[in-house]
Amino acid sequence: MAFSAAGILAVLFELFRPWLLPLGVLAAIELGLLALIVARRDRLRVRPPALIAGLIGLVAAVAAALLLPAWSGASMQQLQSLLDFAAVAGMGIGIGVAIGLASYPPVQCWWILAKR
Amino acid sequence: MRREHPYSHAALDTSDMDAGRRRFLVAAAALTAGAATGFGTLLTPQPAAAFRTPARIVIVGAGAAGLSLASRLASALDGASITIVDRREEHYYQPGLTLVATGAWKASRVLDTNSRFIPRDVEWLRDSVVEYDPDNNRIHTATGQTVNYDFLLVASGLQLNFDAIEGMSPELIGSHGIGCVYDTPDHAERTWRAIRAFTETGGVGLFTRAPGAIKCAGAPLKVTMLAEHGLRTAGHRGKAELHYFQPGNALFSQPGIDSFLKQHFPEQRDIAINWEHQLKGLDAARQEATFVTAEGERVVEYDFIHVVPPMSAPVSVRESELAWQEGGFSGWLEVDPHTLQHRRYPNVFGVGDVIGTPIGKTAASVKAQTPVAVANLLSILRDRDPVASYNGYTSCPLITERGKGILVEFDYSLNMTPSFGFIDPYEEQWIPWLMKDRMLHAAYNAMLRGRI
Ligand SMILES: Cc1cc2nc3c(=O)[nH]c(=O)nc-3n(C[C@H](O)[C@H](O)[C@H](O)COP(=O)(O)OP(=O)(O)OC[C@H]3O[C@@H](n4cnc5c(N)ncnc54)[C@H](O)[C@@H]3O)c2cc1C
Repeated sequence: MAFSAAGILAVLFELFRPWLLPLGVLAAIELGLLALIVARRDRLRVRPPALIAGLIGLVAAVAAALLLPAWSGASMQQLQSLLDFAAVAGMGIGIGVAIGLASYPPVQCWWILAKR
Repeated sequence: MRREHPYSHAALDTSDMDAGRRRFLVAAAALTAGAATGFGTLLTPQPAAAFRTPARIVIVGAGAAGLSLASRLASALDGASITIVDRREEHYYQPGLTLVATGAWKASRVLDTNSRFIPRDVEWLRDSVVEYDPDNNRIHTATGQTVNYDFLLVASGLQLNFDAIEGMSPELIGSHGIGCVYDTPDHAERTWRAIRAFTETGGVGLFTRAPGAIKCAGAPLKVTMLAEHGLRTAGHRGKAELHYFQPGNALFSQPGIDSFLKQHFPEQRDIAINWEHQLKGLDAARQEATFVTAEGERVVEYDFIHVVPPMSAPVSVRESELAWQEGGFSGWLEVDPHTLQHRRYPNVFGVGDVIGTPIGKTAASVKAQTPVAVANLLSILRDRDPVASYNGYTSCPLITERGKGILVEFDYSLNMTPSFGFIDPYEEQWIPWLMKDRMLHAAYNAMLRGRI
């Protein structure tokens, strides 16, 4: 049975439905912080905060990949195929990228404030 | 017996201009909302290009099939009067019962309410159908109401016939070492308590399967394998002797999986298969089960037994003109296996467990059947032939242990039809378990909302 892109999106939407409100609040905070960063762009130094956010993302990716099987009630030993390992790695990377991106605005703000 | 199409099209589709403007406004609103939220079309049903009709449509049953039919019809039609009949307020995510009964999930995870999924413009009649009168296009309900329809969609699922097993009743589930995954979430949780006790003490475990068509035919196999895995994890496998009782000569209808299981059960899991054994009765107090076999009756003592009751269409369907009157599907709803249209009453369609087709009593089948039934109903409303076709698609994440499974998908031909070509349908992997544990409930809810 074929799943359309819209169908997959609908399933993901249902998956995240319980967290839509907190995710919305988080998005609003992130946007607020980005606005603050733009307003203080004279003090902006992108590289160090981006590196810190990248590091946070990397740690999150590794932690997520290690914890994913346990989160599903399985153990690492139960990963059987190349596909299982690829899925764990892929999901870990996805989570790492999301957390890395989400942590950039607060880290950048903190950097601007700290270097005042 | 009425064979003619009973519905007049005279009043249909008279306001093309209105419909066009409406479509434009709906599309504009959807675009704006979509741009604003990123998920606009996912939040509320969007009646994209709704077809205008005053048809009276009645859906019987607000389970997996009834709710997804209601959602799809509500967004596909404009002006229709859609009524869904079901007295049950709560909605069970039945595919999760296997996980509740084996301790992986709490019962609360499978409990929901129908009101969360019934579209606003669908009338919900909290009642149950006791009699179908298809010659006069009406149904009669338990509270004495008569509801007339132009189109009827039967989605009333199936009934569990515990009384077909001597000495068995659903109240026994959870006591005397008796479990059953097929009933309510509460009974699934009680089954888990019985399995957990068995996991501690060990002894003789019997796992049965009813003859004839049953919903999710993989569930009895999954319970067996998950119980075996529980014993192994607890370090008590050596204390238990496990037997699987099959009324026929095959464990699964898909031949490749059948071969796998026939080898896997005895060789990898040390589960003895008892062919041509049908559970006839139970003596709960003595913990004895009686089986009918080719050689006569056989009585087996047990410490735990998983009972799978025989299943049939609900009595209101079984005893109506809508049922197959003879043949292998006798008693189930008589529909064409491809168009899902009733073979004698063209204004009647059937979806879900209630229909008499060779395979397909799963929620995955409902996902494939619903768009077909809706498309064919729309064709009839448009005075066209119903040409959409269901190919028998069914699916079962065959969980072999907590953390591993096989994603089995096939159709009427019994050939595998994998949705994701990269997932091997013959290999035990973590991915199918992850799907079962974390993804499929979301997919099910998306189906109820008519999104997939
Ligand atoms: C233990 C278990 C495990 C399962 N595992 C899977 C799985 O892994 N994958 C999968 O795809 N499927 C699975 N299924 C099967 C799946 O849940 C069913 O196939 C699906 O729910 C069928 O939908 P339905 O709408 O036909 O019936 P149901 O969802 O049972 O709904 C029928 C509805 O009709 C109502 N009704 C009955 N009689 C009347 C009447 N006379 N008047 C009005 N209303 C009436 C009932 O109250 C009910 O709400 C499993 C089922 C069970 C029990």
